[in-house]
Amino acid sequence: MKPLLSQPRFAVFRGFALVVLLTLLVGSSGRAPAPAAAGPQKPVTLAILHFSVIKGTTWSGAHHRAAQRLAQKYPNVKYVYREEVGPDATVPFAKELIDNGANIVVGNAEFMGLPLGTIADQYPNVYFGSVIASDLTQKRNFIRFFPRQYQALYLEGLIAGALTRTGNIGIVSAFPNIQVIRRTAGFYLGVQDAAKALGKRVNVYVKYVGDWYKPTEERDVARTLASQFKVDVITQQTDSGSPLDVAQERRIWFVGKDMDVVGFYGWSNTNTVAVSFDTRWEVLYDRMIRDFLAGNQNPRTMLYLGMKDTMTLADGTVEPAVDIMNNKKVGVDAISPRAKPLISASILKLVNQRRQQMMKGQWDPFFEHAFISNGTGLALKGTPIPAKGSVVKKARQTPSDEFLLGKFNFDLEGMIILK
Amino acid sequence: MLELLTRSFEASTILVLAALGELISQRAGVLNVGLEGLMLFGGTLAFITAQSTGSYILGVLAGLAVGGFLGLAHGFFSITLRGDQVVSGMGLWILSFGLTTYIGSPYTGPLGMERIQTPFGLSPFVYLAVILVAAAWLLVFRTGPGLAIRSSGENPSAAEVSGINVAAIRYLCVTFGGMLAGLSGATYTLSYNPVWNYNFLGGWGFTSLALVFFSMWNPWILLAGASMFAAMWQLSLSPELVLPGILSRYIWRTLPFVTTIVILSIISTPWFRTRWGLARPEALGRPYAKE
Repeated sequence: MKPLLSQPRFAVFRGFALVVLLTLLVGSSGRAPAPAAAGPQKPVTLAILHFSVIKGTTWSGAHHRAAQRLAQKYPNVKYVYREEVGPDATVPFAKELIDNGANIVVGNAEFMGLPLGTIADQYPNVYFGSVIASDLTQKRNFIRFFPRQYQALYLEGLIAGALTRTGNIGIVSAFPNIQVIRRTAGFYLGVQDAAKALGKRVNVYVKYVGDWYKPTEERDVARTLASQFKVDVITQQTDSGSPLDVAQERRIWFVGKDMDVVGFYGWSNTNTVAVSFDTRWEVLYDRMIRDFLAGNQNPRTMLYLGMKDTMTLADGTVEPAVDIMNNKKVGVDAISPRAKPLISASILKLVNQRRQQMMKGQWDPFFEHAFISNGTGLALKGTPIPAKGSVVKKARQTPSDEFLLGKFNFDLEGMIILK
Repeated sequence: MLELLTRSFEASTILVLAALGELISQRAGVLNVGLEGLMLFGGTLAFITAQSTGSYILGVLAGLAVGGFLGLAHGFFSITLRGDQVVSGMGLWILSFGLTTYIGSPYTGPLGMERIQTPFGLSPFVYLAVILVAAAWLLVFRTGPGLAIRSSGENPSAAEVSGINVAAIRYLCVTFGGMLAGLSGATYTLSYNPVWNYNFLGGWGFTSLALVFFSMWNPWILLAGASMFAAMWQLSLSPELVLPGILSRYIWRTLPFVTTIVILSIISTPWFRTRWGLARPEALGRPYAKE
């Protein structure tokens, strides 16, 4: 005798059950299936408005690489772009690209946010996106996004804190703003965790040059940090290659940001660059594309993705939104072969452990540590700088994304902000 | 203090070289407001050449050559075509800004060569700049060709009558000025900050141009002005070098600019103009048509 469900009268039920089962299988995977694997898809044009040139830049260069990787992965995704888009050109370029078929229009500088948000209502079927610096304005089809770079910066901080022999680390920084403050906080917490683990005192000096891109000033400030403050590990929250060159000249360690400049640009080598971090904007763009392909009229309008958020590239590589990377190696292997012997095994183990935990979403430096104000930072309208020593967030509490992205306006206690 | 002085001399060298060439060009009556563009081009080609060939000398020669060529081009527009010198200069600057960004972007990053030796702690370009200042002063104020240059800038008609080929003098001076601007750019990208970044000068060319007016067209005053500005610049960036912990960084950063405003206010007073106004070449910026 056939089993009950194999009998002909249950054929309709069997078909229904199969559909339900397939639906459940797809739904339970935790994310939408990769469109490439789902057969022919409707074409999507991703347009990026780059605020700067692409070649030789770590910010626009990383966005460009992201879009290229997506176009490589999804045959139905076309990538178009404009370079050196200023505030006045944002809307005209966006409209031109939409007229030419762009479905997702992204600005990679915050100044593009307001103009793109303004025209979002005029194009209800187009997704707009803009990186966040502090403004979190969103609309139904206006997406704000940023990667949790502070997680990778925390790991860099661990490495830098272990590497320094003088006990002085320098940061050539742009100007006090939330993005800089948040990223510097991640790095600083890593440095202090390493210092605590190794039982040593490490000073972190921050000196501002006034803007993101000031090659001459960045060089002079880096030289001052090296000569006057005896830093033997230097990093930057600015965009030119000058601090890296000073590190080479002075034979001190450099810790990179935004992109693996050794592996992708060959600007230096691992004798100078102890470690760097790499931002994979494609992981964020991938979410937008998948929402669009799914015909979602209400996409996720806030994307703040970190090490636990990944995507699979065309070549099968699974990559998180951010990771430490150097000379195309990731994780502990990203640490310079020359630097690694100088770092104690306990710190190497800690780097590996924290990275694994963050990739699993089990740990976060901003959850683990308290936020105690240094009394310095950026006074915002309605959000003054908290008084020195005040505990803004207790340890083992999760700060909200809104706080991290829009209101984290103070340096952490112990940082030395130079005049 | 020693570090502050060293850095100030190195920074002032970039300003001096560019401004000195422009001073000579202006002495002959040709204004080139596109100085920054010539410096950008000189610096970019010097960097690319040095990195590609591994030779600093070839890099410097490339900077000189492209600067000279652009100076010559400016001469063609302003001397032969008798175009507006400001328009021509601005055109050169805009062209250079765009083209150097395009050409140089693939070379972004450190130069990656052994550093130029620094005798007595200073770049050789510093010594070269001082020598050139002395030579320029001698040339302009103590030689026959210098008199011809000044005549071309003061009263070209009278100079022509006295047998001076004004067009040739102006061509020579504007080309020489371009070469020095190219050398200044090369000094920046090969020695001062050997990293290629787009728009790396961030306005130093315009500072050099302003220094020419400040100098009253005298090379020694130019050297003093450039050194003073560079020292203030360094102090504003790194007051810790001599005055750690005093005043906010915001106040320090205004120092060079406040000083510039004060100086400009003084030199624009009737008293000052009456006392020193004669230093300005009378025919500066005016196209000359041979009668």
